[in-house]
Amino acid sequence: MVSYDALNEGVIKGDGSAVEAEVNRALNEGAEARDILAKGLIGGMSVVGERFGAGDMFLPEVLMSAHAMHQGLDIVKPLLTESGEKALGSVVIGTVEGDIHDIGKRIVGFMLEGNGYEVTDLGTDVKADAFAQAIEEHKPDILGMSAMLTTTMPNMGKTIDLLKEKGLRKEVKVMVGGAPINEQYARSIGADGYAPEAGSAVELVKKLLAE
Amino acid sequence: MRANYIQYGSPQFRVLSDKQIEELHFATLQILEGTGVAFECQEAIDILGDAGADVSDPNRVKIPSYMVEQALRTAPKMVILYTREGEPAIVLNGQTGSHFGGCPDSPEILDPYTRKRRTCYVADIADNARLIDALPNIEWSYTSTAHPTVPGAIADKVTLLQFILNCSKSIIVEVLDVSSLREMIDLCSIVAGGEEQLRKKPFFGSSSEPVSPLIQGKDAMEKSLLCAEKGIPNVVYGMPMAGATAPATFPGCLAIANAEILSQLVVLQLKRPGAPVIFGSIPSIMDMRTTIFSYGAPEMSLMVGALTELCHYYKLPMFGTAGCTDAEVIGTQAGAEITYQILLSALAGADLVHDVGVFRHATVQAAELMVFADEIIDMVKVLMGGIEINGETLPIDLIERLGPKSNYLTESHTMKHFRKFWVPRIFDRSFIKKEGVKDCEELLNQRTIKILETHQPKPLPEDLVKEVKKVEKTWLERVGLKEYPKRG
Repeated sequence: MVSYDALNEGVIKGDGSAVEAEVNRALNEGAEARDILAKGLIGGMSVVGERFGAGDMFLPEVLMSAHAMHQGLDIVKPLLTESGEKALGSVVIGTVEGDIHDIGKRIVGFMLEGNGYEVTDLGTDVKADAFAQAIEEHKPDILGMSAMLTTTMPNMGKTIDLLKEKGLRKEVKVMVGGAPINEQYARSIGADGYAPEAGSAVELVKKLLAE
Repeated sequence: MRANYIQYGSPQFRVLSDKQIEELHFATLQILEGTGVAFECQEAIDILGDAGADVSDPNRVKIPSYMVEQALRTAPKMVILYTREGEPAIVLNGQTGSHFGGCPDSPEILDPYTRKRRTCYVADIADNARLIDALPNIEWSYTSTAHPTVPGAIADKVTLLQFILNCSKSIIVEVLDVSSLREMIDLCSIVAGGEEQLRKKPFFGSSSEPVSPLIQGKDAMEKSLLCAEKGIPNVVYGMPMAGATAPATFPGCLAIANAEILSQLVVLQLKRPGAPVIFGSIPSIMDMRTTIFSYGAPEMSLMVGALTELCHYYKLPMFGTAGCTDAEVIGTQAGAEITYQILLSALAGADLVHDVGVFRHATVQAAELMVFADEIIDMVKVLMGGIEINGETLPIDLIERLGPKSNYLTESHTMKHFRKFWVPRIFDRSFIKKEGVKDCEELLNQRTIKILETHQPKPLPEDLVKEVKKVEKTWLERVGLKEYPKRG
């Protein structure tokens, strides 16, 4: 029985080299890649998530943990693909057309990556067309759109309309967020979910993938 | 005869020393010259390039310090905002203290009748504008343009018009884009009696936000350039978040804020020397537990204070932030945050101070908090009045005449001066509670509702109302609405 305590601890402390060493040690001891991911890496990140939620950890520390987790993930990922394991889920994110605010969406991306999801960040000022194209190209499970301005938030709805037009809407779940957005607005434009901040965005992704 | 005597007209307050301010200034010049600022507007890049900036990489446009110094020389040291009727209302020159502004619109409002959060309708904007008209210490207004019941394409103009119809005070608007700004200038020109008249006596100004760190976006810059061209007052303010979009240290965040403002100022002064710009920034922190941009952090007030000093070193008017809160209910947290922000702003002397009554991370506007802030500003004015010492205020002769074991109640000196004591309108000082004990929130709610139900603003002349309504009709037609969605 391989112990993941030290790996968990490495993730929680955000110590990338410890995480790498522990992942390699576990592999040498014969552990399965998917166990290392689930029990070691994600296990550590779920403690991080809990502590962040309780206010005992702060964002920069969480991002350090996510980074460390990724150093471990880089080692086990090829092994997972070899054994035909399915990834946890993939998300395409971007800030909508006319809006160049980046930080909120980027934090959501970091947090999702830190929880083992594959994230493609299209950046800012992303036109509806570019979102549609990315969905065709990356075939994500979820599309996440961000808008910081009241003047640009209508572009979320426009993107959703375009996805419908192109027959892509049913291919993805759509989640939205940003300072002026709320649950009611998200529903009114036909999104599947709204998250007020990065921690709840991770929860929302989990929920949407389970549906 | 007094020798070397200095009388303080107000309490003294400084965040930074003169040397510290200079150090921040030169650090900013170094950032502008060395690091550079990203510009996404071609006209701005061309203007800068022609004047000597290094524009070989638009993502790092490098502005030499002499261009900054030149811009600081031509930027007006004084901007005057007028009332809708063209009377001078607010003189912004770093000498007249803080002028606080409310906000009529927001994604949601706190309904004073149900005391619950709900969607902000157009009728709510009119109510808030009337309230701002009534409150003596709320001297102007800043719009957020964020009300959701009309399409975004016209929401900014709808707010402006509701304000004009219900309030005589000056207004600074957040504008969708440059074509919307043109429409707004046309609308306000109708009210002012022509575009030239509006330029001479502006009751209306625009705003544009650089995006931190160090980005001048296309839309924002285009709006600013139009303001410069038309001579419309323009508030330029970024919102650097220490630890996220700026360094986690105060001077680092302030240098980013300053570089964002100055780089835009250079473009605008080149576009038209003398273009009226109000210098601003809302430097705050990212709360690392919740990831929010905090509107209640003491760090924000401290940095706004420091930035005010930097801005006044340039002799430019400062756009400040106070009277807002991260709280979600009207209570202790809201009261505390609003109060110390207003006090700190007043002490620092930030000129045009926005965001009074904004709460829940700037997503909700609370009429009651504007009324509350009005009361706090009233108190703060007493503090800012300082203490003047002269023969009348320091009456040794009176004290000598009355001596010990006397009282001052019936003295003419008392009669002459006691009226200057501040009298609260919301805060309760009574000892005997005839109507039972009421908490402050209840008294605040009653006062808010009373103003909303009784205050009649000075109406806009009928012929002007007709004209602006014609314009309004074209907006509604454009988005396929017959009328605004009704509340309730």
